[in-house]
Amino acid sequence: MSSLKEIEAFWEKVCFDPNYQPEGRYQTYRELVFSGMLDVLQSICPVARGILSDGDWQQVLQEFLREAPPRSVVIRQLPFEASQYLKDHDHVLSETYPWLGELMEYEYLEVGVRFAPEVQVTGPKDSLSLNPAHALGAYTWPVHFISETRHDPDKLPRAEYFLFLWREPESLEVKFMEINPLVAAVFRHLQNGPLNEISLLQQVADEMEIEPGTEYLEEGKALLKGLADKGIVFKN
Amino acid sequence: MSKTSAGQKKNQGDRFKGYRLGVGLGLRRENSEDLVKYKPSEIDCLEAAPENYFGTGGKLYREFLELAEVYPIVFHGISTSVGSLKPLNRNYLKEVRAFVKDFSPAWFSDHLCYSSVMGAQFHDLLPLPFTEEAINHVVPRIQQIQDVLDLPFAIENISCYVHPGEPEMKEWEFVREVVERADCGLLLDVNNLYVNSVNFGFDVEEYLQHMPMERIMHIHVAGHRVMDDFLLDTHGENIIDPVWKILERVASLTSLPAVIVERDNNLPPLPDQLAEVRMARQIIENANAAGVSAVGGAK
Repeated sequence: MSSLKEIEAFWEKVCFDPNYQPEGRYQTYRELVFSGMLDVLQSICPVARGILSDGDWQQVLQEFLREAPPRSVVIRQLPFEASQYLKDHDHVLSETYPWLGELMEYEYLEVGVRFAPEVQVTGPKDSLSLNPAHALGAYTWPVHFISETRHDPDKLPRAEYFLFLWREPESLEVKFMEINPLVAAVFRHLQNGPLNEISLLQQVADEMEIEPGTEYLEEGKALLKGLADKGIVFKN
Repeated sequence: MSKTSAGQKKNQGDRFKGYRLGVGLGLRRENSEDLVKYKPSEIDCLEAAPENYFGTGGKLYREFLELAEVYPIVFHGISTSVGSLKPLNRNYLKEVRAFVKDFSPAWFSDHLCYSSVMGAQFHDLLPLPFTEEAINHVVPRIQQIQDVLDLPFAIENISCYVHPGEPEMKEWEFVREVVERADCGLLLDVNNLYVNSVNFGFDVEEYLQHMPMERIMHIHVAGHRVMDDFLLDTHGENIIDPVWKILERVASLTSLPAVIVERDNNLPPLPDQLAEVRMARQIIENANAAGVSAVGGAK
């Protein structure tokens, strides 16, 4: 081993190939790289980490690192990359922890929103914009209820869950709430750009196949006022 | 928002020594809030990783902006991976350039190593082989980095526990050849130098005698951990006397535009971090008193 090509391929084996056992201080490098990544994943996904045993946690993440090594230079993106791999693939512990990818994505979203860029919101006068520091997650598992004492997949109700996370403009704290499909539709439409109140409610009514009568519009306006009070929707 | 000018350029003709940033501390998520709260006068400048801030907002970002109003910022990256065979990540470099320009940085630095292999990114630093092929590979990449960033660039010597491949030269020859052929600055981490001198049994003085002192723009001082049969560079322990001695020696040989106490993990309370900054400052002031203008910005 002397060429750069051979040496880089060797480092890849040292870092990511579980079938290769590095010798001596090369093992130290494997441990440093792996433990560095585990530390990041653990700090951003504490719920997932708390549920899995040490062995399971390492096994599933070794598979991720082997099959889909991280690409982002931004270290806090690592859990997102791991969650997407686990969501999109049958992994070694899919049967035991079928919700793992969704849970890790949900845990990552909090960090994603916490660090979301501060974008100046603009739009036509009196239109509504969505707080740009937000995330809208859609899940088939109740990830917001999964915990160390509640994670048996046979006892978790499968359904369509919408979770909305946002950063409060003043406190900069990240909040979350479970929302229904109608509110999720409101957010999806606002994600496309600012809309005035009536246009927004009409577009949502069309999508949800609701008659946009007086009662609907009044309830919709009250909903939007509540969202504005929470710092989720901004009036331009 | 007005930004602090980091590069207090004194002499346009002196690319490597024409800045005076002083003695500072590595900005970390863990010390950010306290630094904002106390804005300690012991610190002349802060060192920050652009990866931690570009494309972000929120509390940590606002703290960074507040600190950048008070202290010059020196930017130190971890992701260029000058050793890798894959092309440089130009999107990353462009993001760095777009971000740092608002802070008038004097220079940018990163490590002489791999921080990705075969495109897989990590946040540890793997050593390159000390070979002619490696020099010929990294030199044009450093030049590309300087071109894209349009900033002076300093490359840092890393600590290591193995020498991959068959070394064709000593470490000091490798580092010197890289910085001279790339015509870049040197970020000398005196802890990494100490760790490697113990791990591989070389003489620090011989290393320093062969280093291009005129290219040293930036110094890191840090701590390490003693393992059974080698020293592990943790940047997470207190700085020990032999490492301070190396700083003392370097300060006696050349002026130092910036000296940064770098603690990456296991951060002690801020007063303890500042004690190490004061120690670094004392060493620099002693060197100044002895006739070497080791660092500017000393208070």
